[in-house]
Amino acid sequence: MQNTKEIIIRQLSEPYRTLLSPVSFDGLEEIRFRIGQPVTLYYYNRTVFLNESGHTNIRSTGRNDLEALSACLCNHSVYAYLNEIKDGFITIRGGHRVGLAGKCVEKNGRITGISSISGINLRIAREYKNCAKDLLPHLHRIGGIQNTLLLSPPQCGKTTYLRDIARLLSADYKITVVDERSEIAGTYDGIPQFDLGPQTDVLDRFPKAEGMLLALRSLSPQILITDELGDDRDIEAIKKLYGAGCRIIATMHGDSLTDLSQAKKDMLSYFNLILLMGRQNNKPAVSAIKQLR
Amino acid sequence: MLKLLGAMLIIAACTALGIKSVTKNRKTLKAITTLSDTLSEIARSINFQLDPLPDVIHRLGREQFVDEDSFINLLSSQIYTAPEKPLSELWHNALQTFSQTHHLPQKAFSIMTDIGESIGKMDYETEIHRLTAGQKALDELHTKMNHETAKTEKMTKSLGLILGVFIVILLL
Repeated sequence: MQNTKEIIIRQLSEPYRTLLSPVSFDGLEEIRFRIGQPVTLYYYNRTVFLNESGHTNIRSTGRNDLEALSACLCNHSVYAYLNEIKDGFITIRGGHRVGLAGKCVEKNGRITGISSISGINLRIAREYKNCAKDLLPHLHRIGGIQNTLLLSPPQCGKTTYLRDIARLLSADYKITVVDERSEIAGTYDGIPQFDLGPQTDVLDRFPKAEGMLLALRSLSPQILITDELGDDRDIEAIKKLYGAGCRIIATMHGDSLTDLSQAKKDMLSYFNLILLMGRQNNKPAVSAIKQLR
Repeated sequence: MLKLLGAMLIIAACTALGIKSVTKNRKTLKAITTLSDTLSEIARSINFQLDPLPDVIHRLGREQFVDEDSFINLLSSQIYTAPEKPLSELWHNALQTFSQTHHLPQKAFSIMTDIGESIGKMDYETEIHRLTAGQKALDELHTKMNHETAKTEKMTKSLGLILGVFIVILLL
């Protein structure tokens, strides 16, 4: 935890380095910087408004503070992060994700950036090694690994489990991770910030469907891992992977199996095993395992 | 004999002053060339690799502008010691130190300051455009100063000598 705290604080500008230095990062999930508001810390079970001197003298975030902070988080090089900024977030050292709120910059009907930054959400990524160890017997079946889908609402640990599954299976299988939003590997400066095992290749920030097909053509994975399946193009890509005999382990947003859109329901036919995720004692956990066929 | 020795010393001192002035001008010209090359290399690195500026600056300081008192190395050590500070502030500090040791003219100082105010805050095309424009402005300044220096160089040296002779005559 100390390491996570140090890595994050080193990437902040003043006054946030000083403000956050005494803060506990245990259980901290998000740090929010909003213009005109105090820094807000979101722990898994409580919210704390950070202030400079105790409880009353709340120091609010100013425009200059946010500009300096975003410059620091972008490593003083906006041009190097522009592709990420236009998607609304950047990944910083340590694999942590920084979401940006502000004014949309549009060119020819396409979002090209965000200006007048009014809010920054620093989402702390965590690596829980071996959290998925107990799931491995369920994933295995005669002939290899089952096509597996992790299903849950947001913030239930799908990506954390997916990351650990990749790491554990990488000991025995060639794996390709298609990481459209740099969340699974947390790639920073071309280097995955999380341990994904010895036989894992990462396609960072590739559009999911294109990345899956590219992986099939060029990296010959035995297992392909990706996050947040959802649209029709994903189905087409999965069909091709399925036909080529490549196993798929993926996540999908959803509250339950019955509460899915038609596109997502169609996708279920390509999976053998569904892991329903939830939170137990405020920690991500598998709440149910459904063997479809 | 003593008078002759004194006269020679005065003439030599005045000539040395003239030569010193010429050397200072040449050092300034060299500094402008180095700054122009620095901007060109930063633009090239951004253009080909899209590397973040701190990486570009550390690498250029290590590989190409290796003098400890080069602008890029001064900036590199500033970034290393105070990464939390705005780059424009670090750039300005490094530029001031560089300017003091290399007698940078005001025009070159303001060209570099303008770039420092905006570097790292814009998109790729604008960064390249700004850096290239700054490089061109420095090159133009260099050409102009070089032309003037060539004209005045001989005169400055001669003036030193003449001043020495004049002082000797006055003293005699």
